[in-house]
Amino acid sequence: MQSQDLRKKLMEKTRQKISTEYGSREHHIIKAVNLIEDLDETFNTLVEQIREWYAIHFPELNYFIKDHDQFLELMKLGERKNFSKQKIEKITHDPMLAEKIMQKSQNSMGASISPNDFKIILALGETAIMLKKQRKELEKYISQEISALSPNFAKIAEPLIAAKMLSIAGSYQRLAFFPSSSIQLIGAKTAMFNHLSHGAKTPKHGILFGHSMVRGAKKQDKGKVARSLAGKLSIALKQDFFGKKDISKDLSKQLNERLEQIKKD
Amino acid sequence: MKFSKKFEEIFELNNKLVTINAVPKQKVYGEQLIFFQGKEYREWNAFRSKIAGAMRKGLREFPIKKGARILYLGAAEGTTISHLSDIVGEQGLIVGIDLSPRVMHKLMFLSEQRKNIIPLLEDAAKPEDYVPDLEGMNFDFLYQDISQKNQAEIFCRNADLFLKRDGFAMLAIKAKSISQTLPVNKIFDIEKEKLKGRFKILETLNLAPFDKEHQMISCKKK
Repeated sequence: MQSQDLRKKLMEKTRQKISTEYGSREHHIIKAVNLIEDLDETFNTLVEQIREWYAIHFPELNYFIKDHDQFLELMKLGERKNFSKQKIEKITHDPMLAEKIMQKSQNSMGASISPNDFKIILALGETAIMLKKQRKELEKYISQEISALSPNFAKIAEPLIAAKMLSIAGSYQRLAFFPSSSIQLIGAKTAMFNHLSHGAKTPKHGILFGHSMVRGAKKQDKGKVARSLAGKLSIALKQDFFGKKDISKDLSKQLNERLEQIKKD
Repeated sequence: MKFSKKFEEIFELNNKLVTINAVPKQKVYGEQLIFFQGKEYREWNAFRSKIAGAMRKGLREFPIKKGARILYLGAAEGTTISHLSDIVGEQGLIVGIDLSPRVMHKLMFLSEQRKNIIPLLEDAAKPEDYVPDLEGMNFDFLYQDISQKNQAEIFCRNADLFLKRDGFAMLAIKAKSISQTLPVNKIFDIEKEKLKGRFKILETLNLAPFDKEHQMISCKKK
């Protein structure tokens, strides 16, 4: 076949292949997971700046309200003079805190603020609130998708952790073929390098550190729990990859039994 | 401006490696375009492209010229391939193979612009998969730049199937993809040993500072 004919034929084949291979669910999940981390960072940076800006007018609010979501809601009240104990308490659910903020609003060391200034600060606040909302939607999306892709695994690993593992592994197939020791340590890259290159202690867990079972375990038990969990996860993954059976109840039961044993030792 | 010829279709312009731009006014990866004596040249960045890095480190032989047929394993987004495309011209052909669909997007766009490139979404470790596609083609030059554990093995299998007798080949070895614990020089030696049966080793170059822990081996198929 002539060179250019061959080229046309092969390029069409490559186009098809890209279309088939890149559209699979795992790619969407990986992109979504990468975004969630970026969204968190962006949200935090944005809110820090907004806090500082509004603090020109009402610095005490920035100081006493540590929760970002609450702060953004309170900021919507506008100028200090608009704050009332009732409105504050509706958002903070804390009558003593509401009283304190009420007093501070009347006796603030902040400057007055023009409606124009306030308009733009509030607009940015709305953006931050929207970002948070989007992040929640994204998390829901990821949960749904990973549960559809790998149900046993998503259930036992907890959806967000499962999706992060998928993202680090790079593909569903690679993740499914990981030995449980790799699953235990996914996400512990830096610790692993330190161990290999500088003789530091071996890491005991990577992303699994954030799993509720590992978080809830005593410090000396965390490694054992992570290992048991990783073992079951590797089984769950292979069951999902090669078949359709729901074995999550059995795996959970075995895990909980093992957890009890670890607690006793 | 200082101008000299380094290899066929590869020049040095003011101490920069350049190739003649086959698609005038188009940049591929943000490289500099230089107009000189009626021709437009593209700067070949040694930090982005390992072949250019090897040339900067003193590669003596690079016998690729107009009309050559190249099999490129690990094509990625086409940074190096674009320069090879400049070199081999309209009568030449480069088959670029890469495993990643995301990266293949860019390579497809490049191929639409440069008619001497054929992109394939394939695993270079499984050359049997694309043997039928290449319809018995024989290549003059085999180049491999892949992050896998068995780099030498992949290189040899593709050479067996596709490289002509006496064909020129270059292998960029990435030490850390092969082993995280063995000393880097040992890794290079082990991979080179695997080539000795099939190839006559011509040159061995360490690519630092352009690429850390990378070694380029140039050879000829026996």
